[in-house]
Amino acid sequence: MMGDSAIRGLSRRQLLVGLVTCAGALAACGRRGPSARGRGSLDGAPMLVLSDAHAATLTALAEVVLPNEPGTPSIAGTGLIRRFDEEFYFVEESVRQDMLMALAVLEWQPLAAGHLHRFSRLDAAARSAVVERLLNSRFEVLRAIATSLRVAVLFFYYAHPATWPVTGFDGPFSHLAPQLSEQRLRYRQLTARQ
Amino acid sequence: MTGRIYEYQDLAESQTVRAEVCVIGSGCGGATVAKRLADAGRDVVILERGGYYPTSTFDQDELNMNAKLSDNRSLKTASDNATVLLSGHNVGGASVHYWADSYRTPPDRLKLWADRYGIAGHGPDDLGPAWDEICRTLHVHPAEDEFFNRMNQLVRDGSLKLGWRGDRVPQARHNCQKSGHCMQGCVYEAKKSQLVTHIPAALALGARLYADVRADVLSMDRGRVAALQATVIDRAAGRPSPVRLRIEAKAFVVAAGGYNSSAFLMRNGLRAQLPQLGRGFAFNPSPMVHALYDEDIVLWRNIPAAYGVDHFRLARYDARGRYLEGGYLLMPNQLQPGMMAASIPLSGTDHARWMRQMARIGGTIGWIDDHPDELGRIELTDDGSAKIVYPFGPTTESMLRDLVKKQCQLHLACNAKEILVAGAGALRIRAARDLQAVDSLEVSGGGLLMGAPHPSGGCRMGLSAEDSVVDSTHRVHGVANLFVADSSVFPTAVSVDPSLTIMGFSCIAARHVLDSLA
Repeated sequence: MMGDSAIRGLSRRQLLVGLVTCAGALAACGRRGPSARGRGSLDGAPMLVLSDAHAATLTALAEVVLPNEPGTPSIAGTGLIRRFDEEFYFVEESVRQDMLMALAVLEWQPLAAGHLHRFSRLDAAARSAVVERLLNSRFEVLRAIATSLRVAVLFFYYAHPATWPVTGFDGPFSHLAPQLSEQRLRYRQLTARQ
Repeated sequence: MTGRIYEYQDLAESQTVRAEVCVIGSGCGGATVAKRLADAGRDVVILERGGYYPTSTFDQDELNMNAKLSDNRSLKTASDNATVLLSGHNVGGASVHYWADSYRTPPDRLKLWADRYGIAGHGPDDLGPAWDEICRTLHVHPAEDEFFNRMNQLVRDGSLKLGWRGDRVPQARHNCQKSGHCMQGCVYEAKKSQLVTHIPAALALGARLYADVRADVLSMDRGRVAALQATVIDRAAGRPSPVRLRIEAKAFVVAAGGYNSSAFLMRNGLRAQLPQLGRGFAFNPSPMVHALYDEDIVLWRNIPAAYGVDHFRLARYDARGRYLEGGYLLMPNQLQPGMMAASIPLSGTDHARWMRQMARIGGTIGWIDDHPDELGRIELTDDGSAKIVYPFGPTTESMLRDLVKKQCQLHLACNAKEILVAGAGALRIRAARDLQAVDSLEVSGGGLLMGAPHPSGGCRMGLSAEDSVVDSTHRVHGVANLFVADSSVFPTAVSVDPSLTIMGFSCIAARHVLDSLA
């Protein structure tokens, strides 16, 4: 098991590449892993940044971060994965690559840490444990990966109007009609079902 | 001098634009300097990399407005991969999403800059007349009682109980509707951002503004900038278009903001002659603490910070120079649901329990006065974007932990039921005896969840190219007609919200630009 003490002292780049490479090699030896290459699709419409594997990792994370109780909106109901794809499409390349790298580390790090499955194939309890362990890691980059991804999941989910009845939010002050920016409209065009 | 705004749809063909002065950036620095130059009858062109979103396009939706106004959609972080860099990407810059807190620079800070860094001509007497005019234009005034939401009342009452000094925060707003949407842009034009003040004033005087235009390459000729090559950004695609602009002017003013100005100059190869370029970077890391109360707080309405605690603005040290406490402002927080949820560091059922009681969640935030000996730097990534390297040195970490403790103490004094430090470890505080746990909190990498709303430095003002990037006339050392007018010229953080400091300094910069034209 690769503990915090073993990885302290490595540079961020060394750590990330090492984790993904080691875990990928493990997967290649015994399992068939998902490809992070190529764009995925969601509900029959293309995604612009995320692969199907990225979407699976994000969904698996959202399932343990978000509430799973009667009356709470579903992940699909808030368009969460679609939102990630859109946001990642419009940020600068270095930010996009950092976020995708973070997803790759989250997906494969459990193998390097002794789990028998990658993140998206773990049961919910094991996934929760992985997230908590990363959040409490003494190694800055692992803590940051878990923090940044969880923050984004929570932001995109609870900013969605479907969640407002749950939280008691009375909506934007003047209840104005939404006005989508040019980028948001372009994203819709680019991802329309063929 | 057409006095109009050009957007990417208007710029279908490459062309040459001529003016007396080209200002790069339209935030507090660029808009102010442009307005001053236009006041003097000069032909000014303003370039803005982001889009033009008039207030009629504001819809108060967190995600829609984040997409319009926030650089990299608030997903870019510092080198610790977690501290979020908050800046504007639109005409008016960060002033469109700021809180409108409008402090004049404290005299002790101006004295520090003069004594330690050799800044001349930026004392209280130099800035006073400019501030007077700016405060009239922006309607700056202390927040009145009606703008104290419940969280502001608690911060005032709790800090008084603890014996901490505080005051009403000066506000740049007029006819405020108390919507709570300052960070989504003020649809009512009550908050006096640059978008509704200095920009339209400059345009009325004939200035031209080119939105969606990225400044790229400075063409140098015998120690002067002869022209600027720029690229039109296809705003809808969020990517460069094939259209290029060549801007020819007598003087160029870089006002791209604390996160961008030094990176722009670095991309133009000026680091070789300016070793301090990108150095001395501060960004006011801002940790948060949340608390559940027995009453409704409704953190998302009225103005963010009507009352602020400035008791700890200056850090205190013992006789041997060891840090004791302070070095920050402490404020009420304001969060709409998305950011509220994002900053509550829990998952699943625990997180849901807090969110079901969202009306009863109170919150505070504070920004530290970055320690002058532990500042960061700006570097360039392989794709030429700015990388913010911030060390989180030992005194910085102590300041942040002290700020978290003080926030917890404040919530305890206000009889909060449950207190939660916004950080990866989700530390809960129920009594004063729990506060020592803050000492072992990790700080960087999400140990504390922090935004960084006030970048400064990177183009420090000083005496020579050995110790700084610009001189006291805002002129870049060694380049006769290149000036910098934004927070990047500050030698250290300001110790208060920086908007009025930026605007005051930019008025002085405008005067020196005018002198250079003469």
